[in-house]
Amino acid sequence: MSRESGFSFLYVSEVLGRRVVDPSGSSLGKVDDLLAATGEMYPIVRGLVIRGKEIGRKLVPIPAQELRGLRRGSTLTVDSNGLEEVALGPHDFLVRELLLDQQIVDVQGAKVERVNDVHLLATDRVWIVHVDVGFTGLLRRLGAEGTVRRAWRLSGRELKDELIAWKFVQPLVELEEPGRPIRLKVEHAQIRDLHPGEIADILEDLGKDEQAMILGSLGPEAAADALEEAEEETQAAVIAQLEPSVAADILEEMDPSEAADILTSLPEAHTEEIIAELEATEREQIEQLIAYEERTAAGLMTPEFVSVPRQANVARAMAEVRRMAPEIESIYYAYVLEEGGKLVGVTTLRTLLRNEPETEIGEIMETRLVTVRPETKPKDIADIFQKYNFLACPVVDEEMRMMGVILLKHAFDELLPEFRREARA
Amino acid sequence: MRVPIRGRLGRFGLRLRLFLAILGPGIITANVDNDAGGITTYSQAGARFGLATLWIFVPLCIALIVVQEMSNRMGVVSGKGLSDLIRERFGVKATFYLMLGLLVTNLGNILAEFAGVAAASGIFGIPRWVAVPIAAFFVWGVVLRASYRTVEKVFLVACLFYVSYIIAGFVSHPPAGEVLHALAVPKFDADSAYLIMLIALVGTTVAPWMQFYQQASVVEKNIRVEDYSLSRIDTIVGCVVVMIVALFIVVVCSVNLHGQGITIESAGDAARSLVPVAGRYAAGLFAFGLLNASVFAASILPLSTSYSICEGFGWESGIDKSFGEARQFYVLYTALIAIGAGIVLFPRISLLGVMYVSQVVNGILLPIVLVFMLILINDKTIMGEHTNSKVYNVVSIALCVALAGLAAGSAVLLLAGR
Repeated sequence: MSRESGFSFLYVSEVLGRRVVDPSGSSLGKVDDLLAATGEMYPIVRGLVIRGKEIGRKLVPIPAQELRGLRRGSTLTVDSNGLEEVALGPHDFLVRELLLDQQIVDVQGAKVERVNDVHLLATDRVWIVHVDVGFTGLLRRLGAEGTVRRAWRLSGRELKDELIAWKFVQPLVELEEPGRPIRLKVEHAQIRDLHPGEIADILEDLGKDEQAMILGSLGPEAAADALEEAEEETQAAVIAQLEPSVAADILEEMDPSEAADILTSLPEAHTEEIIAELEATEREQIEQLIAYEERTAAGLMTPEFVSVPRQANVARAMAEVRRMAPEIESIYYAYVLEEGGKLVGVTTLRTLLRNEPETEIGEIMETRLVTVRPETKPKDIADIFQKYNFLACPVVDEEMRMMGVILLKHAFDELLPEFRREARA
Repeated sequence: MRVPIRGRLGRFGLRLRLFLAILGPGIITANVDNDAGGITTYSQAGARFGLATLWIFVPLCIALIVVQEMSNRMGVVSGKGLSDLIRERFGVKATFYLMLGLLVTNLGNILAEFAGVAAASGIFGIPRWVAVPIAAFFVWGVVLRASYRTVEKVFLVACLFYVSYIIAGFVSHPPAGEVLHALAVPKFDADSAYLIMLIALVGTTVAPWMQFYQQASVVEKNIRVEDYSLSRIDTIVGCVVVMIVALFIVVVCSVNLHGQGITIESAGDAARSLVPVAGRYAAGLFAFGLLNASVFAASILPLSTSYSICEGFGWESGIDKSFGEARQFYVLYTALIAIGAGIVLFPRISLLGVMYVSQVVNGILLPIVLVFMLILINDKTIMGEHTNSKVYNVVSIALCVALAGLAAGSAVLLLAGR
């Protein structure tokens, strides 16, 4: 591209390693890195880090004009009076160090990618506009882009670039102060806005420092949401790596039955450490759930449900539903209990809504109950869900005292093999 | 209903449970090291030189432990694979050539594994065109269909079958005193064939894929830094056990085949030659061990290779991803198995030629990988407080220089046409 045109695009790999000369034409060294500053929509590349025999490692202001007219094999001319020590301000970063060959999160695609190259726009200033995560970037770094492109063209196809716009790029590496807890230095793309399931996938692809960094920046609540969406193995893996106190904070925010599942899949010593850090109420619930054998109704159930006394009326039941709603993930039914916790009936939210506030629950409740016992096996639970189309099923002890509910959505994964088997039969 | 988690097991019981949960990567990696190529080399050493090479097993075992311990530690501390770390620290070019080398040498190893399957099943009267495709489909299917945990359990069971070599060793009544003497007293001999044998033993025991594989599986297992001491035991136990098995292979072949003028080209030869001298039973055990080792290693090498390469280039990888998500990974994995098994099925293609290239590349690759590892493990930004201590550094650098020298030496010897 010619020197006169107003702008041009180029790649960092075309700048790195290029010879830098002073105005008299004598060599200063080669480009070692680029210094950029965040703050605006796109980071501005402010300077070149040059490494040379005589000068050592020095910073010069970016010669934007020169970059605009960059040609293969040409040198960069800089003002040798502008040489200064490399010092990073609070918003500065080194492009090669932070990005090149490192992992980033593509916030739009919700994926972890490795950066092959960085795409720059040179006008009167130089901006970072994309990172290149594609095959062509890899080829360019290996010096084979042109050859492979031509070969590809012979077969009538075109190699596609894979560029990610900077606003979707979340860098992960913080190199400045090793050994210190990592802080998001260039925080502009919000990982937090991703779907929890996507965050879970991302976590799985990252190293330990990066996982801890992302979970730390999310806070326990969002971290819990992300983990609830994750596969069981990922959940356990991520929790296993955290400090027990941090892990406990996150588990407290999760549904107790999920938290118990995660804890049972950890080695026992870890489980113990984490449980010790839990708040008393959560600890009791979770310990109880762990005690129940897994893969029975008890292991699948959650102890949180809406219950109303038999004498209550619809208005009181609705008040109870409202009171419990923030605590409970899904409410489909209100369970009617006698004194002593014995289950005598059930009513759907729809029934409650359809009836006058004064109506007594006892009159409208369904008394033909389908319940399971804590030791009921998945196969029988699957049968019940399939036969009756329930969204939840109560778990009772031998005296019909209500212990918890199994939500179809929690049990589904566990029961899926059973559903399949029946579908085939 | 309170949970009696506390106190159900004693302190030791808890540690043991934790160890059983962490155990795996070290033991599996070390055992795969006794693959078809390894067994061949150990058999040759025993048949040709008797017990004379045994002394090298002690320093070799220490070197193996040091190298594997470092990659294990890097995996536990960073949570990243070796090729990830190499890419991030040394850039794309170094990674590319390293991965190319790894691909070539591992392909050679995979080929050797399928050749091992063919040889071992041949001894049991199963023709290769039956055994090799079955093994290939088994390897391909099982690994793709199962989760890492399941695969690991299968592999751990496979490790148990190496006992067959130890039994075969005892069945052939080794002279215990001589064995111990040969282990403890180094024997130097200017005979070039003997030196080449020693170098081959080193080359087959410490191979580049092992560092990549062990680090990757430690990462996959998500072992916590706090539990590192247990993970280190896993590594040490693995390396020691595997050297004991190797030792028994040498002993069996030494007792039965040494001094009889039998030359051994492959592990299959060794098993066949054992029949008349050691009896069907010992030979059968030997052949069974070979079959197990070959299938086992053939399951791990293609997987490990695909993981390492995809990691290095930032391609999605993992058996939990779908084909659409991780295309490069699956193509590579399938191709490695297909090519490995395919070449063995068509005996007109020279196996020796491929193995030769693979061994040369192996010899060139190991020094480079070791240098990279030493730089990475002393990098505080990656390892924090878990870098090598000064003393450990001196020991590991000395061992790595020795290993690298031998590996490079073997590459030169091979290139010079022996």
